[in-house]
Amino acid sequence: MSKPIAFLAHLQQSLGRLASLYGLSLLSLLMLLAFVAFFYFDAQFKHHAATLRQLSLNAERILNANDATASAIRLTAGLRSERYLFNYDDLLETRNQLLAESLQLVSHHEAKRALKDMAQAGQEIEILEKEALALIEQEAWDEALALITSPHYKRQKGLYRANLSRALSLLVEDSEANTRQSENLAKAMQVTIVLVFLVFIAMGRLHAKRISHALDTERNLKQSLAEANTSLEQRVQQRTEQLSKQTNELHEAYEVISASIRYASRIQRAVLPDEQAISHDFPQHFVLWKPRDIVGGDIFWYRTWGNGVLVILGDCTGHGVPGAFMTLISTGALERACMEIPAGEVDTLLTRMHQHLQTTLGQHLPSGESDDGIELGACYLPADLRIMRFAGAHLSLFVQQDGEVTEVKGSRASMGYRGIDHQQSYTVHDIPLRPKMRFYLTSDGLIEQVNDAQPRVCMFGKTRFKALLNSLQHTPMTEQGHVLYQALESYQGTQSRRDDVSIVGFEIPEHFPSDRFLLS
Amino acid sequence: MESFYLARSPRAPEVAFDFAANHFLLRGESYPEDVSAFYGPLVTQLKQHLQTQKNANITFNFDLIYFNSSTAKVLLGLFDFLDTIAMQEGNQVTIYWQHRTEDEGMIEIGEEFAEDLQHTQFVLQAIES
Repeated sequence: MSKPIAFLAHLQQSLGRLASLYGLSLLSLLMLLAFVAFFYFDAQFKHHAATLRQLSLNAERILNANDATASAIRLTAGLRSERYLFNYDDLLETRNQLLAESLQLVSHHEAKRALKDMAQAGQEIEILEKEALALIEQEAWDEALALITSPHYKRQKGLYRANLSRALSLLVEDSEANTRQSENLAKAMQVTIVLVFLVFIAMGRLHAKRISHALDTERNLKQSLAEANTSLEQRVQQRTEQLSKQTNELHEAYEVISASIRYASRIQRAVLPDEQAISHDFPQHFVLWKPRDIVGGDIFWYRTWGNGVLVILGDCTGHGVPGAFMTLISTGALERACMEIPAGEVDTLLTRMHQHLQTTLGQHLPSGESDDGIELGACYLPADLRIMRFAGAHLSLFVQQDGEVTEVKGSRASMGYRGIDHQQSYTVHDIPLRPKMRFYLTSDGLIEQVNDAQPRVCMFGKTRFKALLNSLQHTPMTEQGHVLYQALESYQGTQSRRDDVSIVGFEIPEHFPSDRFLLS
Repeated sequence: MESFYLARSPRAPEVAFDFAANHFLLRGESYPEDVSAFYGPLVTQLKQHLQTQKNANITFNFDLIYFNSSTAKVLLGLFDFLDTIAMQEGNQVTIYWQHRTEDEGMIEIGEEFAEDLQHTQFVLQAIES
């Protein structure tokens, strides 16, 4: 998994965890507060209940004591005997003490006021009872009895009791209210606890869902990444295999074609004349034969014809394999023509060769698929080397002598093409020979090669070619092939080769060697 | 017929045939591996169109730097055909053969082509490079 995606997944998880942690802490705090409140209020209620219980016990004893004091005085005054007064002081003290204690216990405001009113009534009662006791001392029994049964005394007694009862009922009310509150609080607590649990569960589920979602997302991401990787790898692999297969196929095809063409080249070179034979007859000569594509449409023949030799340079249409086909067809046509035409009749030889080409390719007929042919220059040199007969089919002969180069143009017509008359004739040129005369035949490869000139390229041209040949008048013929080829390459620069290049040159010797026919 | 245009490629020339205006152009170099495959359809199209022309002013521009002998054959055939078109009623055919001033090879080839033409006007046009 890549780094950014891992980081995002991690971030998402952390956020989810943080949110639920925060929520859980908040809920826990709420729960705690609720419990504290519950226990606080519960303690309060218990305290109130204890107070009330104490107070109600006190109230009974106070009332008893209060009744007892009144009874003691009434009995004493009525029966005129002081023996009923034996525990009066104790009762009084008990009553006052319990009341004071109750006053301290009670915090309820109104109840406290009622108790205070009660205490005031108690003091009034005590004063009246003290007055009655003083009358009893003076033995004024009737006055004492009258005082103790007076409406004033009875009202104070009533107030005393009423206030106590009021305080109690207030406290009971308060206690009831507290109980109800406590019940409500308990209910609220129950609801809160249930709610909190529900929220806990919901949050837990939510959190679990988030985590599982995050995990799912991460898993999906991982999976899709892995899938993408796998698919990419597969595609790359497939593509690589495909490419390497194609490359192999291409390489194989290239190898097959190359090997085939190299083989073809051996055949074509075998058709070319034997260098030794030419060297034997013309020690000063060169043959430059440079097909553009290993095999080519340029061809050179050197053969005996009657008692002389035939030097021919041909430039077939096309180059490469189709060109090479044409050279072989042309070779056949030449061989047949040489057998049919008397030696020396070069012009007739060309006509015959032209006819064979047309017939072989079916180009003498009005229609057909091919329209191919050859341009050539043919030189016949008889054994006596007195004159040379030249005939050209759209190919010139260049002659170098006396410090200049002249062009002997061939006929305009080429050979073999569909448009050419089947009986086409070619002009013959008889050239008187002298030793050291130099002759050149060239295909248009060099003359029409273009250079790098900007903005418009330019062909080598005949003028440049003739000047170049003339500049080589003191260079041995055997070296000229090399020099011419260098001139071509230097002119060509970075331009591609446009056509096959072939040039032959030979210098007329004093005479042919006497054993020439044996070698040829 | 619609105009036809083919951009120049390393071994084949730029071709611009404006059939409506009867203006035709070949520019660049021409030495395709299969000359017939390249020129066959073009020449057929041209012939179909030109055969129907009457009283037309037809111009051809050849601005070629290099072409191989197979192309030369095609051109020769085309010029031959153009000469027959020029003979048809009212047609006027002009071939502008453009060459660099010092390009004697191109001039020579042009002159050779011109020799065969009887009804077509052949203009050698030197252009400055």
